[in-house]
Formats: sequence, C-alpha cells, structure tokens
Amino acid sequence: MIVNYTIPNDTTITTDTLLFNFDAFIYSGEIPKISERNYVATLFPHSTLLQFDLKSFLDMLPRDVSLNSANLQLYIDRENSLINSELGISQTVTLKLTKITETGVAVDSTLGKYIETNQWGSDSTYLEIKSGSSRKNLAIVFIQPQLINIDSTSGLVISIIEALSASQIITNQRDYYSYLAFYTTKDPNMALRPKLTIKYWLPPPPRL
Amino acid sequence: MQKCLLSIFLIFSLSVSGKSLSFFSSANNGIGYHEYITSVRGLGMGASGLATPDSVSLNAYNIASWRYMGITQINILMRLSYVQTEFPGQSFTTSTGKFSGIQLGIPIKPKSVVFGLSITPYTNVDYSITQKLNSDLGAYEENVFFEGSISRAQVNLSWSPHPKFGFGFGFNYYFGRIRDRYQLTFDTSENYNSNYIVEYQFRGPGVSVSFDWNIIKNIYFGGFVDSKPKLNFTRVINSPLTFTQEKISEKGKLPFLWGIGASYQLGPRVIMAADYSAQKWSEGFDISGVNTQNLTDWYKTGIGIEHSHENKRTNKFFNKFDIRAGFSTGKIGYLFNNDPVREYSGSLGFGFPFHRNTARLDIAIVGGFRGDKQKNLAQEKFMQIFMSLSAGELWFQKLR
Repeated sequence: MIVNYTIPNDTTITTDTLLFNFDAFIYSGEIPKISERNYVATLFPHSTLLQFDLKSFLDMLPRDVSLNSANLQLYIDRENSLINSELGISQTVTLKLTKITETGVAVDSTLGKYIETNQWGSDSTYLEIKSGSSRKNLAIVFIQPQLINIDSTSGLVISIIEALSASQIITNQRDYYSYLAFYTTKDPNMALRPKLTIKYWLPPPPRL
Repeated sequence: MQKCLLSIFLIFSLSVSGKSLSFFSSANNGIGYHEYITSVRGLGMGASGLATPDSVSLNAYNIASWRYMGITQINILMRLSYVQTEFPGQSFTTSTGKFSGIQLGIPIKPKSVVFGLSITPYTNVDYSITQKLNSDLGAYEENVFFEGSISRAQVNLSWSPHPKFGFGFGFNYYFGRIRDRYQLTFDTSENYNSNYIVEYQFRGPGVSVSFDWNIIKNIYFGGFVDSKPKLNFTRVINSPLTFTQEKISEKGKLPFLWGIGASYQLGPRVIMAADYSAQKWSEGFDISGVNTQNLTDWYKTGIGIEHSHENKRTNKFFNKFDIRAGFSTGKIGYLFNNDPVREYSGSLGFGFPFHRNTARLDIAIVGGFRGDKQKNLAQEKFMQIFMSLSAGELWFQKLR
C-alpha cells in the first residue's frame, strides 16, 4: 500500500514498500458440486464410496483362480474439479470399508492400510492405483477378502488422506483446498464409469 | 467393472526347459505313464518274460513262475532314463534315475511253494517344465511340476502242484500320490506370485492270479490277471483364492490288467518268447465326474530271444553270459491331439551270472520312441538302461 503526501520542497523519493501480496478469502460453505458426480475434497472432506459386483465376477469364473493384481480407474470431470497445482492428486488414497450401507459406514482402520490412488492414467482423464506393489495389495488385501466373503457389505472408500475440515487451523502445506469430481457408476457414458480391473491366473483343470 | 477381466493369451514363449521321465505322463485325465516291467531279463527280450522259466530273477507279474526257485531270492531294479522330448520348434533332453521295484521270494517248499513280497511301480509321473511367458499379466516365468507315482505292493504265494504247472496268488495294495504344482513368478512387483498345488492320492486293495504251464517239453505258457482294485481316491487342492485346503474323496477303480505269454526253447541254450499285455484304460478309473476323453486302451506286445550262458567253465566269450534281444510296441493309454500315443522300442540285454548261478546281474538297454510330432504334437526318443541284481541265499531250510 502506498500513501502519498507532499510538502513544499520535499525531496523524499516515493517508493512502493509492498513486499507481499495475498488474495485473502475465507473458506466457507461447501465445494461447488454438480449432480451425478462423486467427490473427494480437502477442507470440506468428501469421500467417494464404491462397491463392485464381485459376486457376478465370481460366478463368471469356471473354477478357483489365483489373483495377481488389480487396478482401480476413476474418471475425473476436470472442468468441475479443483486440482491443486502443486500437490495435484498425490494425497488421494483408497481405503477399505467394513460395511457400505445407508445407515453406517466404517473404514477398516484396524488394518491401517491404504492404497495410493495417485497416478494419472495414460491420457490423464482418470486416476488410478499407483503402479507397482500397490496393485498387488489391492488384489490380495482388498479384493480377495471380499471374494472369500462374497455376501459381506464391504467396499472401498476414496479419500484425500488427512484432509482437514475448514474449521481447523491450517498449518501444513498439504492442507490445501482441492476437490475432485469423479464420474459415477451411473454415468450414461459407460467408458467414464469407475473401473475395477482384476488380473488373475486361471489354473488348468484338475487332471482327475 | 470390465466384463472380461483377463484373457490369458500367450503371446510368445521365450524359452522352454524341463525334465521328464515322459512328457506324456502329464496327460490330463491320466494317472501317469504306465510302468510294465516283468523283469529286466524280460525287458532285454522285448518286454516279454511272462513265460520264460527262471530260477534266479523274479517276475513282477507272473507270480506262478516263482515256482522254479530253489532258494530265497531278492531282486532289486534300477533304471536310468535319457529322454529327448521334441515339440514342433522346440526340444530338450533330460535324464533321470529311478528305483524300479524290489521282489523277495522265500521258498517254503523248494520248487513247489514260494511265499513272496514285492513292490512294483504301477505308474509314474515325472515331468517338469520352465517357460518364460508373456501375457496380459505381463512377463513371467511359469514352473510346472508333475511328479509322483502309484505303486503296487504285493504279498503273494506261488504253488506248483505238479512240475508241469503252477499257480500264483497275490494280494495287492495300491498306493501313491501324484502332485501337480504350478509356480508363477512375475518380473515386476505389480503381480502376486502364484503357487497352486493339486495332489491326487490313491490307495486300495486288489488281487491277482497267474499261471505257468510247461505244456510240452519245449513250450511254456504263462499269464496273469490283476483284478480291478478298488481305490480310495482323494483330491486335495490348495486354493489360491481362499488359501484353504479343499479335500474331495471319491471311490475309483483301475481296469483289469492282464497279460499272456509263450516261450519256445529253440535249443538247449536258446529261448524265444512273446508276450501280450493289455488294460482297458478307455473305461477310465470310475472316479465320479472325471471323464475319459484323453484315455485309450493300453497294451504292450513284444517278442525276444535269449542265448543263455553255458552252465560250466568255458573259454568261449559269448557262452559266459546271457545275451538277449527283442522288440516291443504298444499304446501308452493316452490320446494326445485326439490320436493314441504309440511306443516302439528295441532292446538288448545281458545277464551275468555269478555265485554259482544263484545270483545274476541283468542289464537291459531299451531304446525307442513314443508319440509323433505331427499326430501327437510331441515325440520322445528315449534310451533307458535297466539293471537288476538278483541274489540268492538259503533261508529257513535244513541243510542236508
């Protein structure tokens, strides 16, 4: 801010003493949402719950299989998302739900496991499980128990890890304002719906 | 979720290596390669031997022929196999060594009543292969192991009411297991390495009868029938998905195994023999839910000749030991590419008597091939060396 004043014969040089410039705003209300999207967000924590029809997958198998890896692909509506320019999607994770019902949702915190879901797909239109052992873990730690106990109501929850609410004091760089809008399982464009890809090995039929 | 999550189309196979007694022992719906060894002497004579009288070496199938024994005999068989397996565009060579049976005969009444015990391989599975593969799963190494055997333990009695003929009776107990093991090791950390094991267990009793008949001075007939043994069959699968063990028990049967042979004494030290043995594998093994589509009837037929050593001191080299030769053919009981796998082999044999003709070292060299690269998409050329040591000693009898 510069305050200018002059007196006769004043030889003082007027300079701009501004060192920092902040666009000040206050977080309040809600992230801007549109219908038919699932969200994850920081500051106003939102999570996306997903349950896949693994029973029909199981019914499709001719016999027991060996799971090798799995991948979750979540298509993002980038026009309706606010992706932090520095941290991007680095804090997005998939966690395991013990039950996914209307009356209550519980994250399986006893296992304390989460899977980094922070990799852009090949055309940057979707988010997917990080390459490497995370995909193996998704298959063995998350999917396999559901296949064994196929009637359970367990599922997956997509979140931004350690997202703070707006009322909390922001002290960490990762506490930023960001939200991602995912296309839902009912999107008219099938190609944009969330996809769970399970890779498995089918043993040959028994000799006898 | 994608409807079809994975299709395993092998894009290419980088390399193949393995070991095998026989690739065909891995046949689906099968219980391995059917072993049929009357004696190493018989193998040297083209897999014959059901009707060749012998007071030293013990016949594994024709128990009635044990009636020629005067003293306690023990017979131990070993085998070395060298197999070259060929597939279109690929081949590998392997060698294995195996114990191939033991027989013990104890005359209760010399040359009349003989009590015996034996363990004989019935089938053998021994095939493993390592392949570098590339599929939708990525690059991985697949190790497949088919291993195991079914054996026949026998308690038997040979009885010769007349010097011209004898009968044999055996109580058999079949036992063994075959294990199919698959190991997948992936090149990247993205995939969980698979280990899948299926084990098949067999056990159950059966009986066998046999005869030996010296119909006229120079002609012998012999034969045997192994009844359909009633098997308890158990399939144990270690589930890769649930990590639990699934155990299924069923009843099963092996088809009748029978054989008949004849021999003709051409001269004082030359004998000619021919055998035919068969088993209707096409009937299957009576295991519920198991089809027989890869099975066909097993048979083996052979003919051979032996020039035996002179039973006294001699300077002539070829009179100091037995020399045998023969030829055999048969079907191994499996269809590969919807065509029966045939086996052809020629043999050479030698018998080296020692310890005043109460003991003998028999050697048979069997070479041949089984399968056809066009018809069965695989062929094996094999060379096998069989050895048996037969040793005799006087047991439980008064010295006079």
